[in-house]
Amino acid sequence: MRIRAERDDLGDVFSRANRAVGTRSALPVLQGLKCEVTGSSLRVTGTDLEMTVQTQTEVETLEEGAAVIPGKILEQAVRKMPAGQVTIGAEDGDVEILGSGPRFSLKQLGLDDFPEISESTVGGTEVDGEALAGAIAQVTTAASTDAARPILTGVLFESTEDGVRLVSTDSYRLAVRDLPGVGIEGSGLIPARGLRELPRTVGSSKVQVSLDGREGVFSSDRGALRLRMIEGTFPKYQSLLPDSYPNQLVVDRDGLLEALGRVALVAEDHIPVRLKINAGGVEIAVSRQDVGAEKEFLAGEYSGSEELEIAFNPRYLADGVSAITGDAVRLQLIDGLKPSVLDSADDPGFLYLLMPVRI
Amino acid sequence: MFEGVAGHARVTEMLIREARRPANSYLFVGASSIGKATVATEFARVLLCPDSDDHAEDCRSCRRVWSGNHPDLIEVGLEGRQSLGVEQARNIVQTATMIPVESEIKVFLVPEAGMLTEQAANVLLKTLEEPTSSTIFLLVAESEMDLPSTVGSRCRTIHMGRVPSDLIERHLLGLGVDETRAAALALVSGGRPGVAIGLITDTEIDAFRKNWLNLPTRLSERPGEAAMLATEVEGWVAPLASRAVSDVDLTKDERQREERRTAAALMESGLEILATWYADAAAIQYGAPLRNMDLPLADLTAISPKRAVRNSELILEAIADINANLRRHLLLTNLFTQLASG
Repeated sequence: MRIRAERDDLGDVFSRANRAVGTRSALPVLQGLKCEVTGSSLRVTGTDLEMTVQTQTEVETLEEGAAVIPGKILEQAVRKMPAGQVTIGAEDGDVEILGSGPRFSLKQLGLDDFPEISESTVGGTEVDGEALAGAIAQVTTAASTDAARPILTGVLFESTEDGVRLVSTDSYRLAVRDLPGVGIEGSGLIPARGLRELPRTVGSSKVQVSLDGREGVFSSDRGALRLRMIEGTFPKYQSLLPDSYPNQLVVDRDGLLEALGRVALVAEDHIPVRLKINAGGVEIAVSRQDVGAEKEFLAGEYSGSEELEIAFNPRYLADGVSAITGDAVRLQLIDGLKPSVLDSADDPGFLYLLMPVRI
Repeated sequence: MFEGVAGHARVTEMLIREARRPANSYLFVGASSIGKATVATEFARVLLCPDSDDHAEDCRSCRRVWSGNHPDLIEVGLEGRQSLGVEQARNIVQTATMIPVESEIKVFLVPEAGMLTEQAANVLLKTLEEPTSSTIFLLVAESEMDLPSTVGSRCRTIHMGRVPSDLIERHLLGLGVDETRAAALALVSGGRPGVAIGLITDTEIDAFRKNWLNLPTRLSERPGEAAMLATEVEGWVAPLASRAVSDVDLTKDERQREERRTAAALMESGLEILATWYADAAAIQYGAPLRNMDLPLADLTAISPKRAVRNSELILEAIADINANLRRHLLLTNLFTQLASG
């Protein structure tokens, strides 16, 4: 293969594909980016087997063909060229990168060794890219990072009557986001770590989503992000969500976040924050034996029969509040020991269920 | 169907049958350098091959298993660490839940499963017992004792023995080694194809065997001289062991471990060669066929057949003691004085 293109265009497709190239790969060949030239298009694929990024750009084709080129050095070599056109040629196991003056010659990796990556993007439905990225950011807050519980490190994509639902949980909290108007086939568990890469790799105003049995595929005019799915059964979360809550507190979102920011100074992770909720609002208090205490009152609207006291892990509570968009958040409670739900009238379709801490 | 494996026909035939309905986890055990990891890798290749018939050179799946680039063969090695710890175990647990990349299954190969720490083994237990249906584990260790019993009991254990020297010889001939050399290598390797292959180009092979066969006429009852002889014997083994692994691409720690294993293996084959001398001494006097055709008859007949048999027994006991990790120099010194005493 042999192509010529603008330095910055090449730098962009290489660096986005490199998001999927690990520093330590399971297989030697995965250190490379697979570059394929057909017609006037250069397709670049990087993968760590869990996440695959495919990018493409228009180039001046001097010769069609394909090669696997060490990814990190390819990107850096192109970026460090003088501004202007860069030529990349691959022949007989070697790669040549030419700027106006500098010339790199690198060794290719085995094209035959590169894993087979499916090319399909068929059957995907188009969604608003920003809405999807926002939804992913909201639910991945609740995903686990504990490798010992792999199923909880994924986000469940499941089709519902009027769209798709994204769910994740680390067993202490659960985030659910409905995206109406998106049709996908079946359901699948997609690693949260890879989903977070969507904006940085192929995020765009329109994104197509599909599940193809092995992978969740997100594609746009900038390329495709393919995430290998997790096998296993996601916890049955529906039964955790009660139909109605007798007690509801509505408070200012930013006010609550700021208060939780002050709480965090004293609390650290395992010290619970106590909420005493009554008609006028909520008293937020935290105390820690060897540090001290903080207490404040936040005005709010409470519709409930009696005064309630409940405690939460302060970080999990703050995560939930900041995941919600809108001016006001609603905290729905049954009593001081049952899971509570955070949501907002301004942000329909999202809820965050949080287990209280026993005090 | 199993390529590049010397001997082990019984095991490979069984594994070919197993491949149709594989178990979740296998544990390959046996002495060092006999080909456990080679057999396990070949088993992985058969399991991953989309073609159930014969596996030819042009199969892309098989080719990538051989080049270490198959995406569904996950080799969990030490990579310079002293042991396989909790972090590696967690990675295995996580990867085990992923859908295979290309194949119907994914295979985890752990060539040094004996280096799993107790805590790492605990992390793995649940996954080993009930992996997802697409996951197969192949663990390799020298003995079941090297692993926590909780791990061993969750695996189907494949016991592998040493390889008869005629099969090693045949394997070496297949690699283009000439006949005399193949025979010498097979003898020195003591049933370990890995050692024989490592020493293919070594020039000291014949000297190694001759040195051991010259020992009986040099033995002395005096402990001081026996101790010096023991030092000399260790000097035959160590350099050969380090040359046997010199071609393999290893980190420093891995190389040291391999050298230790190979040295132990060579010490064992050396002692076995020594035992054949005494066996021949008894054989010639009872009129039985000889193993070594180049020994001076006068030396062999200078020792009573009863003593010759006793001495071979002493050597076999010493081999068992060496495998039990007793102090090698002391053991050799003691053996040599005992062999010399009438």
